[in-house]
Amino acid sequence: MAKLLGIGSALFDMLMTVEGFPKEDSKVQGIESKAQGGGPCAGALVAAGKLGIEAGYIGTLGDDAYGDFIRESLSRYGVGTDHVRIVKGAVSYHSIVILNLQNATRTCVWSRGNVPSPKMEDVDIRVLREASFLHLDGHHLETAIYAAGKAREYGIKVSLDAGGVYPGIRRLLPHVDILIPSEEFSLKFTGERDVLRAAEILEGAYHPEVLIVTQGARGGFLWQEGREVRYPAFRVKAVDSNGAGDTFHGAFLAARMKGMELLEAASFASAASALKCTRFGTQEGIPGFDEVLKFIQEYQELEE
Amino acid sequence: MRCDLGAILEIAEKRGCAIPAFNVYNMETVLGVMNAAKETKSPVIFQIYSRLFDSREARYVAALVREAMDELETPAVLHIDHGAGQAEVMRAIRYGATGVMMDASAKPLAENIAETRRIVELAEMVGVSVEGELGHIGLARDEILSNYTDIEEAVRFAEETGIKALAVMVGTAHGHYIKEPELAIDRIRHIHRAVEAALVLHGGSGVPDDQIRQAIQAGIRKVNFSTDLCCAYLNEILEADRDIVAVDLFMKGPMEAVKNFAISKIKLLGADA
Repeated sequence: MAKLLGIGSALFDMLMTVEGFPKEDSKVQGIESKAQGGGPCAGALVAAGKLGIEAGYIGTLGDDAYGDFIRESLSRYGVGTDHVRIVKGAVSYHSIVILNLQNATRTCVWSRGNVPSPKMEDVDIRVLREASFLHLDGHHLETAIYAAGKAREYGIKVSLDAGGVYPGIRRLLPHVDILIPSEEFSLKFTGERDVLRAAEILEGAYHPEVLIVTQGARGGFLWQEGREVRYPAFRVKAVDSNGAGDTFHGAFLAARMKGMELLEAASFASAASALKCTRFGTQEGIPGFDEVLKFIQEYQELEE
Repeated sequence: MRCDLGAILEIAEKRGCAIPAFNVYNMETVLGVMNAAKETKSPVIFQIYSRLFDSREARYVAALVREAMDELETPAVLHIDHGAGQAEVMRAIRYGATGVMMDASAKPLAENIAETRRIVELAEMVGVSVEGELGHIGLARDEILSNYTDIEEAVRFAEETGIKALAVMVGTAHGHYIKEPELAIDRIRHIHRAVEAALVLHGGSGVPDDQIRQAIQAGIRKVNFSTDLCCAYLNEILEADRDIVAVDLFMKGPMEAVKNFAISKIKLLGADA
């Protein structure tokens, strides 16, 4: 039985690197290609899976090549897909990403496909009841809100990776125990210019059990008893920061499930996320538990 | 069976009875109330005082109540009593409350409306009904009681906030009464006619039975019992056999006392099937 369940985005990415962005109506040879799974929720579940937590994805996929790939990549990294509904004839969420190495730009063409969102019936209550955490990323909002309500009923903690300020996201926030917005979300949602003030407003409105604001390469902070408690940012030479945020969320939950205190868990998640950035691949680059511990130790030794 | 506060109070309105709301603090009080509801097949409201949400003890008590609600075949509500602010209320919602009370009754009317309205907006998003309070219900030991809830203010308060339950000041107070209270039955009747929200009587402990019955006839749909439940429990503890050291066995008597107390109030309110 999965201890961590996720409802949210899972997609297929075709990544190609080029030296110089192609001109319109031309052909250009790629340097490196990678087909990979993506999506904030899927990424967080893979991170937890790789870190040794039983995770499971609840959602819908088409029976197309993209859908097959997404499902296989989840399973490969230890994420259960028993609760994925396969929709016949549907096209799954997919994208083509061109990474221009010359200017370090990232250009994406995406398609939502036509897979219907998961419905309330796709959330198996018996499975949900056995979980410890429900992770959401704001996608498939109606089903996410329904599942979050059920989670509250059963005392299951709801975690939210608040990235995009999607319409209706406000309705999800009162359900959330572990609220981890990006700095961008915090500012946009509250209409503030100061991130500490934004955190204060989020705390004042929703009083989640845990509030952490992530600030990318600058690390981030826990908002505790009216003040910021920063967790470290691990400085690394980044080669691919895709999936760094997802890794943070999955690693934070994994660390909590392994019994770490809040600050320790946030630091661990920050390290896992930094280590991910040193590796190519949104999901493939996510490290395992021992790798993260080793990375933290070596980093600290270097600092000293 | 889990039930929303608004829905359980509709049952009361339909039946012309009131639902008892018992303050619970620990496993013995939760199980005592649960067993009473089971025996009488009565709907019941478990409520936890706001203070326990500050100290976070409510997190553990709420888990007990959730289990009890699952086990009961009759409708049951988990409610926060006298929510002191947004922090306590939001915690209650996350701990699985199906009803919340926001008590800003000590503040001027406009502020009370604004604060309660804000909680209603948040609670509505998660499908939880709200109890508000108008006309401050003070302590029984206070020399002078506050004024009774004003009917026009009650109409305005209920309309502007969107609450499903309204705690009214009609002569009761919290704690032990020094002098027998006298309820303003006519006032209850008038507010009941004017306001759609279900009326709540706080300070039910120590109110003579015949007055409780009249209050229900006049339109009270929820009656809170805290002090007397505590006393039933504590009195039994003080009299329990000190030779018993296993706490579970020691607590059998006190738990039974809570149950018997709850049964007597369920019957008084006419909530038993």
